[in-house]
Amino acid sequence: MRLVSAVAVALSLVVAASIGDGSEPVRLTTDGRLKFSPSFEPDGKAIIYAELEKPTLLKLMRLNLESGKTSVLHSSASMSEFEPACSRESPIYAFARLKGTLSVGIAIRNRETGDEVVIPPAEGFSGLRSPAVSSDGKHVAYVFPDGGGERLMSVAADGTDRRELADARSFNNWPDFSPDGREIVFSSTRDGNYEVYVMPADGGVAQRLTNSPYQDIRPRFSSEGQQIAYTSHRDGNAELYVMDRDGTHVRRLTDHLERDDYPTWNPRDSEIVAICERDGRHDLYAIPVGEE
Amino acid sequence: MFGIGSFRARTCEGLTRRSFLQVASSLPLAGTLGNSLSAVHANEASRKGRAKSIIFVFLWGAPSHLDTCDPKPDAPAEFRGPFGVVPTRTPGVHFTELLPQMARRSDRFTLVRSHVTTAPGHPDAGTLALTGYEETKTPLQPNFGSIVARHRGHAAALPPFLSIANGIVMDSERRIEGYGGATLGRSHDPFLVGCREDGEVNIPALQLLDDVNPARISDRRRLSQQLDHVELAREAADPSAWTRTNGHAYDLLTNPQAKAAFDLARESPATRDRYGWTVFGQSALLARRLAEAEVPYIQLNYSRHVEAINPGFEFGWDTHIYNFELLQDWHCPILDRAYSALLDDLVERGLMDQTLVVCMGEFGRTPRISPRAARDHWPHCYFSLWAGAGIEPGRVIGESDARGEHPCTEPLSPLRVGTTIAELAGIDTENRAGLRVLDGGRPIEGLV
Repeated sequence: MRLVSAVAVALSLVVAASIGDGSEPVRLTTDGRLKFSPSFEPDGKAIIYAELEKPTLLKLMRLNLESGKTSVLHSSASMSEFEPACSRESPIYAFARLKGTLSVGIAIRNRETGDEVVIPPAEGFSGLRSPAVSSDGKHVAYVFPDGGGERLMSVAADGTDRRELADARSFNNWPDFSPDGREIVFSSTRDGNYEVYVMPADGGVAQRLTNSPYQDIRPRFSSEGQQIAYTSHRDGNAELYVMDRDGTHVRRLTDHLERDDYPTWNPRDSEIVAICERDGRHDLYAIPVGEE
Repeated sequence: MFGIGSFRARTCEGLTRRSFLQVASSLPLAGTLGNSLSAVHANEASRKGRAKSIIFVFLWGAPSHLDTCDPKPDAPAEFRGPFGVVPTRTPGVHFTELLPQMARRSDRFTLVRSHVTTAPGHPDAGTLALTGYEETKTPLQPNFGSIVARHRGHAAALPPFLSIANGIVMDSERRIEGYGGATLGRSHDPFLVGCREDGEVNIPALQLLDDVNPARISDRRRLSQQLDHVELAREAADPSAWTRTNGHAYDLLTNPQAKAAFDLARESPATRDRYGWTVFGQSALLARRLAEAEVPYIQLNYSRHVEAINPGFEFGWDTHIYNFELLQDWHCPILDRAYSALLDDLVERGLMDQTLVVCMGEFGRTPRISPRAARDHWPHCYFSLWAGAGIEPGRVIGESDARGEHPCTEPLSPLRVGTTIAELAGIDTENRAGLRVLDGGRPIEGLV
């Protein structure tokens, strides 16, 4: 258990000022360990993320924003778990779990009941990845590597009704459901390198939202669905950007020589939480998002 | 900070008790230990060649050359991968966007793009990469570091060959055979040093008594107290319970200058930050401190295990799954930062001319993306980076074909790598013949 500065937590809960008013990211964790993939719980009071607990093990951690304490989410987990994704409104969450040698499946778990469904990897070396859960907790999207590309898939939360959303002729990764469940935003290399696209949640024609010679990845819908945050390398290293749902009004949120990555929206939309590297340490930071 | 690891628990991972004692017995005795770490022999300059110290950065598991330092942006999509490229400071040369800091420092190293090896699997290719010969060669040949150690002898308090990792590098459950002295003897095995992401250094071989508290030492004051306790424990021990070589091991631990080399807390916070607070980052800083102390050969391992993601193993470069994700999220940012910091630090301290930094894996990865959306083993083409020791930087040696499948210039074998290192370390043809090592090897033209 680690105690985050009460001041820092309090600051993080302050409604953020608009971009350009001098507001600075607020550090939420302090241990500096390698971290990945934060995701807010539905009430916005806690964040789940993956952390390298020791050189051989990734664990899911939970940061309670009210107490400032972090704790291991699954204390009995002996295999690496990572890429957690929470539903916006339901107790369902999903994550990647190491099953064995070069073999990774997706676990879908109900926080309240502890019930769990596992989507197993294919035979042999296989790594499913990047789960996303719809707001109502009824659907889970994930990535299935196949045929030299990455296929976007969808299943019901009970593991049935498996469907292909995007084929494996390119890399398709980091899906995220819109709050109303009608669309999925994701990144794809179908036009050469990673760009951000949006498409109907049951598949279909994808609309391209970004166009950069460098990768635009990890898009995340805001809670109202009107904005999309993502990571882009377009300015020399990983920085955070926000754009409107249609790809317009692109705003850069961070400008730092070190890495800013893995954006996730606070359910109140006033801020994004991301993994920022500062002075060689990796911690969760709250970053204000104001009006354009 | 450094801790004193469990000696007995490490016998299958680190040095065996026997081999460690042999190492210790060959260390200089207490009188010598009191001298400067940089004490020189009368003919030392000629023995050292251009490289007083060598840092061999071993990217164990094998990074994809196409996704790092030899991208093919014009190749078909099934080869080039998803990453964009950025220009380096070397005209016409690009790296992928995953290595922006290294790209900005290409004027500090020479890129070699035409390596080949004959072993397609890790243990054998690892031995080949570190010795110049396959594991099946009889007798097994010594690690490049053991050759340098044998040539230089033990001229200072620190061992002449250190390997930084949490044990001997391994592929799954099997350790790499070419880790040590082989024909030169176990006394030339590497001295193993572990390093945590907080910079705490662990020396597994140096816990010799059960009553020596191996508790972590959090600061320099406590370190000093701990070491005082070690000496007291030694003095109080029944002499019959101590061998002479045990004592030498403690001399190493208690020599002020030797222990200072392991104490990363002596670095400024800014310096520690620039390397990054990762195992590899702080290990790279430790390597620089050891080079500063003129340790002849430091093998800086990215990870102990090759596996990208296996239960109970460190996360290495063997990316049969998650290749693009692991490179993007993890390995490349860590390497980009630490390697760049290492070069900058060596330059700023005036150490670059006397230090050779070689960075490479044991092979490349398949140019054609695998069905699992990753890359597998590819012994037919890979890269290396060479910096320091008078090597003219900002150049490229060798070239791979349009898809990165094969060199289209002279293929360069691991034996050529080892011979080049030896030459730069002052081990010439005659020396090599005398040691019966690297037989038939030729240095890589343009590097010596």
